[in-house]
Amino acid sequence: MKKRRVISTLLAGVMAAALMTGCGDAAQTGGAGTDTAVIKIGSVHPLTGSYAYEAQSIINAQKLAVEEINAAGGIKSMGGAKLELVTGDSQASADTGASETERLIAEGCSIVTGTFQSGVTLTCMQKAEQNEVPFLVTVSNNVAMFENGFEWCFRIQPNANVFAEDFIQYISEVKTDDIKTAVLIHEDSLTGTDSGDIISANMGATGIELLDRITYSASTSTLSTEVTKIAELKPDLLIAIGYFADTSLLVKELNERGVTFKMVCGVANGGISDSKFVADFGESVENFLDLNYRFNPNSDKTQSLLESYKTKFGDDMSVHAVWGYESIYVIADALERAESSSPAALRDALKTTNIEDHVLAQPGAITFDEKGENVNAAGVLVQIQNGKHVVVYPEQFAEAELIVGK
Amino acid sequence: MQTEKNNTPNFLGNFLKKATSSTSNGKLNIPQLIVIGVACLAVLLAPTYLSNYRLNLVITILTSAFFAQCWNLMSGYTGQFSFGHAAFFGLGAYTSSILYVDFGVNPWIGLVCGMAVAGIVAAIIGYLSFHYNLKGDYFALATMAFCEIFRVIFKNTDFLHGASGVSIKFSKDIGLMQFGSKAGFMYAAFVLLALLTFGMYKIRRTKMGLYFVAIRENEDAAKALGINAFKYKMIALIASAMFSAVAGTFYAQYYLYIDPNICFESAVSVSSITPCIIGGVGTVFGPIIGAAILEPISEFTNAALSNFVGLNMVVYGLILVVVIMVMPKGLIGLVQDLKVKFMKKKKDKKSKSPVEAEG
Repeated sequence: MKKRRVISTLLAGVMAAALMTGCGDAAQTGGAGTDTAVIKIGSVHPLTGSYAYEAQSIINAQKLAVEEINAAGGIKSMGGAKLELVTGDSQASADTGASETERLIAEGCSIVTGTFQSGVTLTCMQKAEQNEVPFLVTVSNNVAMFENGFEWCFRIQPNANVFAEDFIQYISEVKTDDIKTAVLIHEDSLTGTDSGDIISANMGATGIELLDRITYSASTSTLSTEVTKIAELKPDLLIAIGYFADTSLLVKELNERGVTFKMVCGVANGGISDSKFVADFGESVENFLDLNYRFNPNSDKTQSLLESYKTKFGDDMSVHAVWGYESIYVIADALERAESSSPAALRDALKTTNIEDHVLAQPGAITFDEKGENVNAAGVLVQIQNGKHVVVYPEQFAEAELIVGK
Repeated sequence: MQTEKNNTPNFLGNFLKKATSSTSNGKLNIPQLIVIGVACLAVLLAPTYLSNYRLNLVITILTSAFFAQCWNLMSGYTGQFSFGHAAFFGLGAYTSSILYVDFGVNPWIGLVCGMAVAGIVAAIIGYLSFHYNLKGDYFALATMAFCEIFRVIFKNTDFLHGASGVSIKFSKDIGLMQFGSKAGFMYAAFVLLALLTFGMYKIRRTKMGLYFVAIRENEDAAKALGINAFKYKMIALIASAMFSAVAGTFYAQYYLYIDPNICFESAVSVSSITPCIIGGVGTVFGPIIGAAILEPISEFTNAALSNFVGLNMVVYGLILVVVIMVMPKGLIGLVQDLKVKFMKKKKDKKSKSPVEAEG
């Protein structure tokens, strides 16, 4: 009777699966749009894969913000309603991100946030649009994704255009006369290409001659041809756009050949702005610059945030995490004004956001334009000095003097 | 024949026996038709009893089964193992999307253009590979390499939107191949899968289908019998590529954003293979059964374990390992093996029973 046993096992399996599906559906009857005492906020990030560390730091910061807000009495206009963060794992894949977005919306989230990778973010935004639920980008800097006429999507962080334009402006303001030539090297995905295009088109405005533009794939295992080319060109300024792993590779190979520059500057560089990068390379990356988004180091609010993050999670708060933290406050502010957790009311409230009191290094308040982009988003120049990241420019946010040419 | 009245368990047993009997030669029997009919009905009525989120899962199952069926057409039937079906998928997605976004061409026409482009590219790849007699692992590697070439080309060509990818504006117009609701997409996916599967079922018993299988089982023997292996391998590859392009266009229209990594990554090629392996390579219903098992497991582990980072992948991986250990020939293969064993036992019993009666 082996066959019957197999069949009954199979049948039992099918029934169990059906039951699970049923339970899942039953659990979702809360539904979006009703005013309940708990307001769910979705968060889709690549919790597994190569960006797991960054994703986890963003979610930690979101959790911290949720706890702070709940401890301070929740959303007061809604009778002290509490926030709840519901997380989803995009597994760094666009369609998994999209289906996780669908799941979070089905579980009753009033808004979804995410996702650290532009390609994934765009697919999730499409799903949020279709479901008419607002989407707030935590980290993703691609420009084109806000050119689609989306009506439910918002972004606080500066996009790649802002980074590149700020780079051109700041560099022309801070460069010394002996910096005459530059080479631009960037990875060839969305992130690098976007900024790379604008920088190479506008380098003329800085008065520095761009000798070459070199691209590589971020997943490469060697950059020796690229480094040879750079060594031959001997630029005064090296502009590097990349993620952590590839920038580390670049610096390693430059160090091996003893190639140095008067100035090295990244643009939203995942390596240079990372504290692990400094720990890995020590003295050899001293005075490296990066144009990046950052928390405002001169505000007391930021200092206490950095401390509470460290006490809670035993780790320094990364620059990316700040955007997770601020995103929750932007949402809470909108909820407070909307007096409702319905997605439509929340969207309308987000449109009229005006937050003066924030932790970001940007001049002015957080407000959104008609595309959903933060009008005042800006980058700052960060420099590695004595093994620490300090903001050196613009002066409003500067913690230390800029050091040029060692 | 047993009557229902005097032995109900045996009626059920007969039903299951027939429903699971080999479909490789002969038509579908009545129990099988009933099972298929019930499954189809369950899918067709899904919008009435499932939430939008669950419909999303049904759509994922149907599209994943469709793409796997495309792979099955070539690699399952003729045994030419492709590891680069993402190339055709991506070409389909890109052709329709770029024609629509940049030139305003209706996606339905773009769909046909995508099929044509994928067909032509498949003809070139096929000619180069089969003409120089690439077989087995070498052919698989070649298809993988071609796919990677496309990824690099699409990433670095401005005309093709480079790394930025293409995003399609959301509309509810069926004329623009967006079906407004989840149900619309689900029916479209269902029709596509049903048509392809019906074709796969029909073709098996034609001369061409038999040639395909002959090539898979022993290409040299097939050639010796006068089968033009080159021709039939080309036909299978081109047809498979054209349908994969349809899967690509459908993906682009559903997710509304594509980029070179989403389209040409090896993970996409793998996703065309796993449902076949789980369900049964070279069988008509293997890809569908495989997709119907895999997608819910992955969705369930994602949802149930979302608070334990990474555990979802671990559990999903473990389930896959167990499945492949228990049934290397896929679910259909397993059921057939078990049946053969069971029948043998029954026969042994029958031949033994008189002896036992004597003793």
